[in-house]
Amino acid sequence: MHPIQMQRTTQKQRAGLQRLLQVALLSALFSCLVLSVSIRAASAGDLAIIVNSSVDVDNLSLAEVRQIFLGDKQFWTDDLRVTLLVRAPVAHERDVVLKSIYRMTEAQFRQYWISKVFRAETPTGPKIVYSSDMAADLVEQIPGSITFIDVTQVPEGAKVLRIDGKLPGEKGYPLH
Amino acid sequence: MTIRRRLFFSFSLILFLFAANLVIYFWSNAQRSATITNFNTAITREIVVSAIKQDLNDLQKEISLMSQTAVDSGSTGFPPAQIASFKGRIDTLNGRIEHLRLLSDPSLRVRILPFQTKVAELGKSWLIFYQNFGVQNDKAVMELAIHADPTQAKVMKLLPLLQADETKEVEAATANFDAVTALTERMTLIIFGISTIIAIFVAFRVSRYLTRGLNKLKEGTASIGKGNLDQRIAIRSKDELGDVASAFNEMTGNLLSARALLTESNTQLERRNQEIDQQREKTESLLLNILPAQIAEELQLKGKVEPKYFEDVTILFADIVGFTLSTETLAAEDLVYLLHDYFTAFDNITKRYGLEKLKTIGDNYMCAGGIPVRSPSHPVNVVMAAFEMIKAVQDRAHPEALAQWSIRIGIHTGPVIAGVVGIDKFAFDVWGDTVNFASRIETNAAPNRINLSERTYSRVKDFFLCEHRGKISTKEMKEVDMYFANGILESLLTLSPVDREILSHGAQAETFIPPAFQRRYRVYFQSDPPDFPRFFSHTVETDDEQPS
Repeated sequence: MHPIQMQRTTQKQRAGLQRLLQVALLSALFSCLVLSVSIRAASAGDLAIIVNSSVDVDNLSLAEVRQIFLGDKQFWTDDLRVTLLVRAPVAHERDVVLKSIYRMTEAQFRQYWISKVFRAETPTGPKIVYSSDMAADLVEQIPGSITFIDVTQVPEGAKVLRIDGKLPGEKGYPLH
Repeated sequence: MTIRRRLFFSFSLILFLFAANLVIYFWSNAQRSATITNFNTAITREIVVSAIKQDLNDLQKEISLMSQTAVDSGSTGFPPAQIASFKGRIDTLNGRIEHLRLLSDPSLRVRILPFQTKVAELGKSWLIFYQNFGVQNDKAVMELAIHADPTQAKVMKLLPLLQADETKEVEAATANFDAVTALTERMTLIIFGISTIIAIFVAFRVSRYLTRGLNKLKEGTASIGKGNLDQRIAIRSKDELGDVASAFNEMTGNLLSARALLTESNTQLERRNQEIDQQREKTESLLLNILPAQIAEELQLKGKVEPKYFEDVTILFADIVGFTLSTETLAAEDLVYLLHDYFTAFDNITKRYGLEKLKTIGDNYMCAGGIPVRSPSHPVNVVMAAFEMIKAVQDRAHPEALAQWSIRIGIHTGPVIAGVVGIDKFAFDVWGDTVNFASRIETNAAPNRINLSERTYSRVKDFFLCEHRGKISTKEMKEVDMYFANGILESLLTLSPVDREILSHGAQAETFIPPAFQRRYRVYFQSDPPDFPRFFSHTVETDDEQPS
């Protein structure tokens, strides 16, 4: 084949690929938009468990969630530590988590972590975040981090974990 | 080897051993000090590591709890002073790690360095968290989660390794300390034991040597002290003991020679003393020949004799009748021989009766009684001696004799002055009227008769049979009473049968004195008669033969 002929053929192929990619991207954006709208619309009041994208986990059982938030499981993998981000007191999300995951009062929660730190059962405790935006923002930036925010506050692109195979808004989702 | 050198070497050896012990002691101390220093350094490092761990834990807990703590929305964070304080704690932690690094060996520093770097990073992250806490919470949490927590995890992984290293270092230092301590103790004990054994051995040898030598000297000295000068000390060593023994043996030899010389000198001295004694005896004898014993003694003691007054002395003059005629007929030698024979007899008689011979003047013999020793019996003694003299003369006047001499005796009693005159050929003599009168009495006597003065007669009349001659004119034309003594009173010669029996046996004939005479003599003079003219005894008759 002549080199010029070959060049024209390559240019045609590239243009075809670009078109294909544009279509795929638009399809993905559309599906995400649909999913997001459907979640917001369908499950207002549920808490979404979001993790940093470095976490190679999509689904957790409620027991595993409980282990993580109690500090009993401190590593996702050998080189990826779990970083707990917990909303400050008075926040609704915190009350839900205390009730449904920790099953403790505020005072018991505090005492639990103080004891755990002083017993050296964990080098670090959960870190306070003061807003859903802050939580979402930090989760996005901190590898291995995990937090919970109201499902309506979940930013776009955030990795939401399934709990017992269910997303927020789905029937049987345990955190709400 | 001399004792001085032996002792010097012994003491030097002991001193050397002492120095060796001292060196070992200091060496042990140095070794222990080095190990103790290492041990202390290891312990210090371990303590520092513990402090670091404690600081890390404290900071970690504090940060961990702070991260769980919510702040008010209007918070402006920690004040600068509290931040500075926190930073000071971080600096303290870093300082401890730097201190630990400096205390560590180079090999261990390499291990500390990553830890130090990580802690420094952790400190910075914590400080950022601290500075942003309550101000920029998202930044604080980000710093904590992204930097601090992973770094803290690494630090907490390195810390146990560091602790394990330090524990190993402490164990090694402890083991080293124990090993060095055991080694130094063993060395000290060994050196001390060897030193003690050597010192005891040397002390024993030296003391035994000295004791043996001194014992030999002591035994030799004791033997020589007992007079055994032939003893020699058998020490032949070439040291002070040998020198002392040689000197001692030499001294013993000298003592032996000196003793021989002394013995010889003593012998000579004794011989000379004997000669001197003999000479003195001769001198004294000669002196006694010319002087009475008491006078001679006084002369020897004082060098002179004081004239003495004797108030009662009996003087006897005896003159040989016929001597002048004999000088014409006899040879001088015969004359002197005869005169010597007579006067020798007289000398013996005067001695027997305790009289003092004064002198002879030609054929005149002069003696005295009661001088120089005073006695009350001297008139009687002198008269008895006079009878003996007459008897001696009569015995010699036999027909075959060269000369038939008789003797004329005069006796007088009275005071005299006695003394020694002259310093050369001195003689004891008496002076006074008594002497002159006695001479006159002798002059008026008769041959072989005893002429007594009135005074003498009165003193002897109770012992002797006397005959009054009447008043006789003396040379000075004085008329004086004179008496012949004819013999002993017959009453005093009377013998009892027992006395006669004794006398007949002749057992005590030579010392026999008629008891009556003796009793009277004792009554008058409170003493026994010195002798008795025994020719009177044979002439007396016994009581049985005498008519009553």
